[in-house]
Amino acid sequence: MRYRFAASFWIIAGFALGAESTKVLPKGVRNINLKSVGVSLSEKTNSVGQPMELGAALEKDLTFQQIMSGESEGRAKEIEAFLIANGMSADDVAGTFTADLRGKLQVNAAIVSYGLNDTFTVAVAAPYYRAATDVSVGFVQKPAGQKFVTHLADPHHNQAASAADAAWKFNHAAEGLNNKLEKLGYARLGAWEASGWGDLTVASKKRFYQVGAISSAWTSGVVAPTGRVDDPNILTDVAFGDGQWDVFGQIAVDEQLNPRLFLNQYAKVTVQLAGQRNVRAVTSSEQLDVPTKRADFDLGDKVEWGTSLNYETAWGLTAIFGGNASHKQADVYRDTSGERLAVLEQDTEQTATQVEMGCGYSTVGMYQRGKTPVPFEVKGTWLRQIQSQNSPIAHAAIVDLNLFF
Amino acid sequence: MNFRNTFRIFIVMTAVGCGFVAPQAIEQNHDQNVAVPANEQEWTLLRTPFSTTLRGSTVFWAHDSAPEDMAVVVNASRNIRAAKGATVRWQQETLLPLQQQLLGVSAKIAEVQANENIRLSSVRREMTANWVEMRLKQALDAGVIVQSEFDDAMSVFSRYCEAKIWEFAASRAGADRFTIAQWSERPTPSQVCEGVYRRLGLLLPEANSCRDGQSNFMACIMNEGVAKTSLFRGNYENRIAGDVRSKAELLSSWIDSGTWSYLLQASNPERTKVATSLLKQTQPKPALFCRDFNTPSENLQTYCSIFVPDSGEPTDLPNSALDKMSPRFLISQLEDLSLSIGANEGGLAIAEHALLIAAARQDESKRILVKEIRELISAFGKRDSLAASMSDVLFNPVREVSALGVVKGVELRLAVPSVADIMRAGAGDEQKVLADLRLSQVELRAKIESAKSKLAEFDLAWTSALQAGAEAATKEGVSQAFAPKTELSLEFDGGILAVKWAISDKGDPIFSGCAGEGCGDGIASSVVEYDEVNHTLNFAIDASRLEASLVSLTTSGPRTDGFSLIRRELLEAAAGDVTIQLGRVSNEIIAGGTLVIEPEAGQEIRASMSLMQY
Repeated sequence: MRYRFAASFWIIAGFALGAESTKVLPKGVRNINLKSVGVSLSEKTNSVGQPMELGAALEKDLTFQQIMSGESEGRAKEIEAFLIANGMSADDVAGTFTADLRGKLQVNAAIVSYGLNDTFTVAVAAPYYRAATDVSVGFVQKPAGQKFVTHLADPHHNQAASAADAAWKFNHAAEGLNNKLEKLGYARLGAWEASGWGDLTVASKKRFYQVGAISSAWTSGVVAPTGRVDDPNILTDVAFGDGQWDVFGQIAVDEQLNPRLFLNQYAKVTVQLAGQRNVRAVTSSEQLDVPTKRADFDLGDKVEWGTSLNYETAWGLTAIFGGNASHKQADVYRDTSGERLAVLEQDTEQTATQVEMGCGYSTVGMYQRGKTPVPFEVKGTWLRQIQSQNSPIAHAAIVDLNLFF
Repeated sequence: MNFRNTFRIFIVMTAVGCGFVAPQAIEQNHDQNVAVPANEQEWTLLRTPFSTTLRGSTVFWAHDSAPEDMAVVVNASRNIRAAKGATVRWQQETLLPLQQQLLGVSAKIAEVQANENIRLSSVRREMTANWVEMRLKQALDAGVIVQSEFDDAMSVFSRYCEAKIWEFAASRAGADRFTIAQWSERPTPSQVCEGVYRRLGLLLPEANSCRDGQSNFMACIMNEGVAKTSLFRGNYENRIAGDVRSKAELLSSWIDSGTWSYLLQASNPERTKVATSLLKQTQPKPALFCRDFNTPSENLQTYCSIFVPDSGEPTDLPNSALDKMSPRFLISQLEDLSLSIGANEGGLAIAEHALLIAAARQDESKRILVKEIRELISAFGKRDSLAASMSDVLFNPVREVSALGVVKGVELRLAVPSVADIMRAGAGDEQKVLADLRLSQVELRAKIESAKSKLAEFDLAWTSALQAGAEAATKEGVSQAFAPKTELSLEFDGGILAVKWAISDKGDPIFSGCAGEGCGDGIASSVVEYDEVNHTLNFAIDASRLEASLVSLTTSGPRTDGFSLIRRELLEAAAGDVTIQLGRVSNEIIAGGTLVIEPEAGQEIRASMSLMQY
């Protein structure tokens, strides 16, 4: 039933440092890059790339077997016997939960860079998240539910109180679900909102090649687990961090096609180191009434690549058009005894392809020509996801402000 | 641009983030469609005082019982209730309405009949009262008999009518009714004789003791009847000392003091002695009026005895011997139709020419006339043993219909042509209504018999269902104990519902408690929680008491009668929780419930029970 928001990964990937270009800061120059990213989420893709409602994971049939699972063994057998006696089965569906889950994410990141020399720049990025989700859960009756109640109320079965109780529970199933969640230690389903710092990134970029129109740079760094991780007891929360260290390396190549236009290409590999955190040990048959366990996990490594055409006029107007793709390997979860938690690993291999377009204004060129005393850049970018697997469908709007001093 | 300015810009951008609007999910549909069927729900148990005991069985499920096997028991339990419901429904919806219809029709018949009787009563009374004299006059006018024969016949008939007064005074039909004052008018010993009584001045309605509305007509019958008959006057009057006035006063005092009744109805030696002394008669003989006097019981003798002179049963007495005949003998001679007047038969022992009998032996016309008269006299006046006569039923108005005795051979009596003529007199459309009602009555009785047969089938189906349920519940592997004599007693009075629950008919109930304000006197273990909306009872039991009942089950017989494999040590110091659902099938209270005992954490002994009224 649990839905895992992994939005942070996709939104931050690739832009945290503006690392896709080979540009570095001149020696002694400082740069603050302020980014603001807004994302609304209501859909995701499944393992074959088909879009589905974000709340689909919550949309489950309620079978009598599930109802009985909350009872003692003896009571459960009595219920099953009653079902059989009336031509029904424990697998009959009493009703179906429906859900609408929506999320919104706002990330404001500050990336501070400093040019150690003319080819080497170091940077620190600290994203600040504000996230909210809201979920509405409903319940659609199935004929078996009414049939069950009708049989209970049959004077020949003489279960009037049980009939009234069952009817009330079916008619308040969503409330019942929330009560059950609460009883099991989960947060009730509803509006959730949080804010806080995400994972801190420290990186360095070395432009190691620049001959003619072609330049190349290598970026490497680490991501520290400073952001809040996913709470296993909140089914609709958003993680601001992975909970473990990442190490990444990226190579970028820029080719100046003419004085105003250059082509950027990059490839990045992120190795996600192993970590440990609390998880709910869900199984294929039971996704709620499961214990919380300490688990070793190893999130799948990521590979990203992309290309873009960048245009800049003499008076500072900029435009960009490009695309990127990414792939993350499946996660691995094991409990402390070494047993795999297979259900947690399901549908964790992710891919995504985005097109990017944007425009902006930069005074850097003019500053270099002595035309303006303040070098800065401002840019707006629209990222549109055109394909993905096991990922939220996240179209992002990004506002960038680069200040140099 | 310095860092401070840059930071300000960051703050501004963060502030933009403050405009963050949380998403709102689309409200999902919450069906509220599952409804509890309304049938049988709306009823109130604790409205008026009631007391009932529900009986049935309790099955203690085996720990490893399969739901499929348990389902068979659930189905069997349902079938039992269904069969019981069908039985009750048949009773309530088919049999009872038919019985009520029959009661209605019977009441209507009685009402119509009563109205009809009132309407026709005066006509029939008059016809009956004068029928014998009228018939004899017709015969006289037609030349069938001569004047002397007419006079003799009337003389015999008058003596008969006097004898009927004696009989009525002594018979249970009379005596009992006098005692309990059932008559609303002066009763007649026989309506056939009313013309004679008028003519002889007997039982006249003008006499104070004979007026309508008397609380007791004993005085009338004795003083205005028996005491004025020629039989009394000829045998007793002269035996009482003193003048006429003093004799009358003495008789009156006897009547007032009850002595008269005492004497006339007594047959034991002590009373005989008193009677002898008072009447100055040396050896009065009791004469029994009851026809069935061959083996009279003591009680029968008490009611049927009356002190009268009895000259025995003469077979050939002269006409003058009428004075010597006992009333019983005379009545027998005329009413007992088995005493033939055939030409060659001498069984009829009345006086030679009395009531034309002697003459009738030679004359067919007279024979027919005598036969008609005797049939009429017998039909209206004959009292068999303790039974009432048809005259009592038709002409003696009583305050309660049930006070009338049974009349034997009504059909035969009504079939007598002269009687039928009288009964038809004045009959109109009401007879058609009565005929239709009686037809309906017959049809309803047939339907009721058929419905009772069907009810027997339902009963059999119910019994079979009970047996099937017991077999399913006691199947090996399904249950670890079976209590076939589970009882739940409910008694509601004064706002308190008293509850007793037992699984065995031996020893004390396992639970005895109550629900309601002020019940239990603060003893928590005896308190019952009653949910009046869902009609559920909940109470806790001491499982060790259950253990004692299970012991009795073990020794009560084979597995199908009751058995227990429960490890009893599990019940020691364990508590049980009983929840009982009360319900109704065809307006009869039923109950089902569960018993849960948790001897150890995570270990349950569960039982289900099914109870109903029977």
